Amino acid sequence: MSLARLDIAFSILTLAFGVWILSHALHYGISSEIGPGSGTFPMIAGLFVTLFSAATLVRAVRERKVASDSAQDRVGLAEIAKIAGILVMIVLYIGLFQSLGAFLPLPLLMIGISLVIEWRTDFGWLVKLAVISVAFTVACYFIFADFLRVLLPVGPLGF
Amino acid sequence: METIDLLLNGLSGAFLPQNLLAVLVGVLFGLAVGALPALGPAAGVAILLPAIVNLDPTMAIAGLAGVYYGAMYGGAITSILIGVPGDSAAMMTVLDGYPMARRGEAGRALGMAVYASFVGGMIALVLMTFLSAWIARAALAFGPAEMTALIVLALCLVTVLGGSDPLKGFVALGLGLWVAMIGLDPISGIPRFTFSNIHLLDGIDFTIVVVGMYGLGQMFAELGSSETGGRSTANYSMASLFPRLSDFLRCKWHLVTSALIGFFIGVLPGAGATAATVFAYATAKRFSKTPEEFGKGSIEGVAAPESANNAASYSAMIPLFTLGIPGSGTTAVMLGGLLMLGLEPGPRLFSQQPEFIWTLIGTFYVGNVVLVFLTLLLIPALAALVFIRISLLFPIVVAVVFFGIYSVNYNVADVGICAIFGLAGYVLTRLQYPMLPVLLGVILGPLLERAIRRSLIISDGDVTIFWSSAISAIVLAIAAALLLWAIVGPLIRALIGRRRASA
Repeated sequence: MSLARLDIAFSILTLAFGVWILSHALHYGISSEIGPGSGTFPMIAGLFVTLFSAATLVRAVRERKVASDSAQDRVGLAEIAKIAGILVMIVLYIGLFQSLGAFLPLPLLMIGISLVIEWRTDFGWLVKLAVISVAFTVACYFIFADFLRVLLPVGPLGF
Repeated sequence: METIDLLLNGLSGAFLPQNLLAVLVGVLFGLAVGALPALGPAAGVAILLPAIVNLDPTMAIAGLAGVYYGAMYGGAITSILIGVPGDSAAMMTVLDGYPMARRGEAGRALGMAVYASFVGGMIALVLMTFLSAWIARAALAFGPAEMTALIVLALCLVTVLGGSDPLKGFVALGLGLWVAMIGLDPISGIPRFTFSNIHLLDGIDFTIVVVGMYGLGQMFAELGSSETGGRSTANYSMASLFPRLSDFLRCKWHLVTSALIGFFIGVLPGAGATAATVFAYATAKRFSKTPEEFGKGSIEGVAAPESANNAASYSAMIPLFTLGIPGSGTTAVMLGGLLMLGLEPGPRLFSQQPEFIWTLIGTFYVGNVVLVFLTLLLIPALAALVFIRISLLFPIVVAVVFFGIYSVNYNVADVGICAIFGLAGYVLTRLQYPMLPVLLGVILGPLLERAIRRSLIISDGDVTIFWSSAISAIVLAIAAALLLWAIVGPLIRALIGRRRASA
């Protein structure tokens, strides 16, 4: 998808969002007995978002015709898939965090993210990946749990 | 003389083992971050931020600052050896540093980059030492109305100067202000934009926003670009790294003028080290006896931007510590760090916590000297960093981010919110919306709201308080002019363009 189209879509989204902020700002109240009300600053934020989104939208529509179609001005599905994949890995890790502890699923998270970014299944690479993931997990244990004394959830194996 | 006494006391504090260790860790991390094209100094400070929250404040901020100015040293290495700038502030160094490396003078360029960084940093530190105390004393006279005006000006400056598109900058600022409004109204106590979620009653911690947008968001944006595989580094010898007297004599005035340019541009909110290097390079070329050599491997073309970017990194911390207003993305992140540690940056920091501030300045001097030796010793290792595949680097970044964010409130939901901001940072980066106005909106929004409300309470609701003093009136007028220029400027340019096209 071209960045020019995404720019237009995002401007429409922020314009609608700005209007939404303004509606809530009016609901919170603009003035009070002791000066500005709770809605004053949300109104300022909403006005900035609405007015400048409208200006950006108008400009984006006018410039759409002369926008280039080079690879740099497009967002590829591969790029979006990688980001989505990383986010899925993070969500899965969050799900396992409390039950399996902070460190047990960490190498799986790291290996999963690495494979999402670069799908390589040759044995040597996978071994290197596994070793680095485990070594980094051990380093994280000593840095966060031991040195910085961050209270991280403990899994069934005691760490 | 009082300032010198304070600085000497600060230097003695800087040599305490724990502070030296913090500086060492910070500058090492900064060197690595500077050398890595995928991460910038703001991302480096953001990633380290949650990890330092439990440390002594001086250690913590000394470490974070070390990352910032260390990155300025590190960025030049890959610029010269591989032709890839480690961060945006190092991009001008590529223009002459890489051609020098290709013709076999990598050592000479690297040596000058390190030396210029040191000289630029030292000049900026001396200016910072004397100006900071003076600015802090002057700022003590600022009331809520003056602080309101300053914050408004800082937000406008950052939005107009900090990116290539002021219109998108103001959208980003509005989004940042909105994020800052999430939570309980500090005056009336009513919840705003909490969606009946109790986790949002305290608002969204700044750390989560900045780590998400700079740490994860930049990483996501990097996934769209190609990896730097297939490049090779230029060769050099350790002996060639030491600067020659002839190079020093040739570049001496460029080093001083570039440091001054970097210092005064860096202190402006929104301008940053990148703008400083561009100005310094252009100025050096303009006044050089051999301007035709620029862009083809001129030693002056390496000296000028390196001196400027280091000077700018120190001067960007002046408005942060003296006024509580960050001058760049990295100092915006550092402001978050100061607040997390329970410190309120501003003029009162100098009067109420002089030991902290002068010890910190002392660590800057120590760090600048340490970096010269560390950088020269670690050049081979730093150059090798750029070849780390992002498929190895990014999982490590995600893991550090995860633990760091969790350690802020011990709430795993914060990690999910951080990931959402990471996605937002990616979208903003790809669509060329600047992130700095978002961050400043988040962090300065509540301060601005409090300052305005306090001013109106003092004046019994009379809005003329904001321009009753000369300082606030002038500052607000400049901010209004910037806002007007941002709106009217594109219209005028479009009109001129159409007239030229039809002529």
